Amino acid sequence: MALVTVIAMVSVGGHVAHAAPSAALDLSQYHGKVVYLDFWASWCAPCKLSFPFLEKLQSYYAGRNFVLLAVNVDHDRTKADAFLREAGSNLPIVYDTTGGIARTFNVKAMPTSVVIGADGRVRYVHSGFFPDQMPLYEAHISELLNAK
Amino acid sequence: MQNDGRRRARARAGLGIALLCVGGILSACASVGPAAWDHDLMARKSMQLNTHPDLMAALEHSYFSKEGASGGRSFVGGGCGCN
Amino acid sequence: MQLTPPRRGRIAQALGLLTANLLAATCAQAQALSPAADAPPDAAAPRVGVNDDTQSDVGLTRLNAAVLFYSESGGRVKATEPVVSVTVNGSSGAVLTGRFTVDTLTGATPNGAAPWTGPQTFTTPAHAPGTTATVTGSSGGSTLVTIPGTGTVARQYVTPANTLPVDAGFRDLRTAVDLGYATPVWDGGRLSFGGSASTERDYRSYSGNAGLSQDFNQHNTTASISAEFEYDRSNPFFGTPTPFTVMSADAKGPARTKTVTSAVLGVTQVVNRYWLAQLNYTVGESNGYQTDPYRVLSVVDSVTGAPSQYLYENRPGSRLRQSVYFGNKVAWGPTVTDASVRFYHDSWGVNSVTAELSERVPVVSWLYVEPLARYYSQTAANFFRDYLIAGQPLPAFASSDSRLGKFQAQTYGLKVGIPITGHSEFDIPSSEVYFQVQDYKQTGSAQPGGVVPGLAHENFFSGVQAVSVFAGWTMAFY
Repeated sequence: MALVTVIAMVSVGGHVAHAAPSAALDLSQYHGKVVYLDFWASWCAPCKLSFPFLEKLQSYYAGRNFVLLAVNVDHDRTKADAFLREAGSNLPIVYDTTGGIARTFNVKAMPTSVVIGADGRVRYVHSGFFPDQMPLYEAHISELLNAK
Repeated sequence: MQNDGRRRARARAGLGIALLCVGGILSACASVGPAAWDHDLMARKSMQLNTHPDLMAALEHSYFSKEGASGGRSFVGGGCGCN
Repeated sequence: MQLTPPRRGRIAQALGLLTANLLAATCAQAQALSPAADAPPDAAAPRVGVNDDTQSDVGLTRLNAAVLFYSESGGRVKATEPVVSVTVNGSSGAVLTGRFTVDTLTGATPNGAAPWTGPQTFTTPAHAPGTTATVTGSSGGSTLVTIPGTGTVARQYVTPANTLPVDAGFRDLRTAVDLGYATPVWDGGRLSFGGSASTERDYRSYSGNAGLSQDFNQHNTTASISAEFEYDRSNPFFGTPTPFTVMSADAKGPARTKTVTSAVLGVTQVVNRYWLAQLNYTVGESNGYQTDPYRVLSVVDSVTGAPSQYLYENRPGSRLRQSVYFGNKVAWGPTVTDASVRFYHDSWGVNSVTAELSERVPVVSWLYVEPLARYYSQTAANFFRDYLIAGQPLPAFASSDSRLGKFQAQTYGLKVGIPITGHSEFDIPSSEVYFQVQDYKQTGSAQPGGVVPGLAHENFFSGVQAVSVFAGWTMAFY
């Protein structure tokens, strides 16, 4: 199904990113790395389903040129923290309580994963999380890691 | 018979108007609604359209057995808007 | 599975390269990138709030059990209705549901005749055609008599003077099975199928439905269309009487059927973060036997009101129903308001308005209450008659069923929910016990306009007053 994979080639230049005041996300520090940005919330059931997968990605690509950032969009950070504690997760979390980052990346469904190549370009956007698509999600990362 | 035909025609007209309305509403809705990350309240159990389906079914059946009108509800839509 | 390859070249260039340097989302606040391990310690973390439980049955199986106790005042219908149901949720959004309902009904129902200043005796068949077993026994004050000269066994019951005639021999057992399946088919699209079968001793109903819904506008708008087909078979205990024939102990005709075809068009809209609205249009057409085989009408003297005979009622064979439903759910802080209105019209002349309002108020994390009120009002079907007058030509159709008369109804109720576990997403199994108590009362005028002088002091209104208690339990687990 083509529906889950949409290719976004949107320019997310600094000049369009002046959204609402929000948590910061300076991706420049990850230049040269493949970045997997996962937008999630504590109230989103498929997000919960995706966490074990994200953990797996994180550990599987640990030695590679790969960074996974879980961007939480809960309005109330304590809910996110409660969720993470229950999930026993130690993924790197970016708190985006006002949705500024989500707006920048034009997030249209929860969860949404944005896969950014080593060149800093958004290469894949996974809208939603479908367990049967996990091999595809992973293939996208491998492809970008091997692109160099 | 003639009456029947007229009624059918009216039903068809009604359905057509309803479809037009739905189309109109859909286009009017195109820019309405919160961002994907603002569906936290919609995700609440209490905000679902049918929180207790067995209770809803029993009540609907009970009303159906006593009143001339029935039906009209549906339970699609809303929710966290995930995936 | 089709993977769209990244489009490169001109378009990409035109859109501009997204460099990491440019990607810095502006920061008005301090950088908040931190592993969760840095989150505040447990002690500082509040328990998830009273109304924050989210609907996340994805991947879960849900078992439900409930029972409804229903009682109409005046010795009318009493019902006990146990229900069990199960919902299996796949991890990709497919949902399979099954429900099994048993409904035991006893009590008295109005037989349709008008009250009268003297006692009235009603005679109906005692046997199903071709059998000798009595079908309703002699309960509820009925007696079995043999009609002189014919050998026909009849069941008779007597209604005292100035009393709305009811048949107390009413007893039934309804069992119903409902199955449903819904699955995502493409992005934002869902397909659903369902079927149901229900049987009573004298009635069977089968139906099937299919529906399609599509999300638009970032899942804020859902348009849906569904269609249902129903087939019903009415097989009265003693056969189907010919409409407008005299009520008697004679054997009646064979079973009759009807079909119902209906469709629902709907739009559900998330208006803003707090408000969910829904608009549905429903149209349905019923064709076939829609008359109540047990119901009669009194044929009365135009002056004294004395009944000369009782005729089986007669309804049109076709009915077109339309309704518009507008529903809203609004999250005001921790409470949720549910407000809806329905407008209904059918080709029998019944127009109705229904308004419902409920407010769910969380009290503590393990308790919420939900008071509710409902108002219903309908006009009479154009063939509704409290009685027929002797010597006047018969109308094409006539029924004295209170469901087809003019009345209003008020419902007041209270739901109480006790979530037992499941204060967070991860408390599985999570369960809830809930109760709903409800009081329902129909009101209407006691007498038709221009009532026959001899019946001027009778109360014709046969509306229902009922109390119901629903107790349910639900549990979700992996």
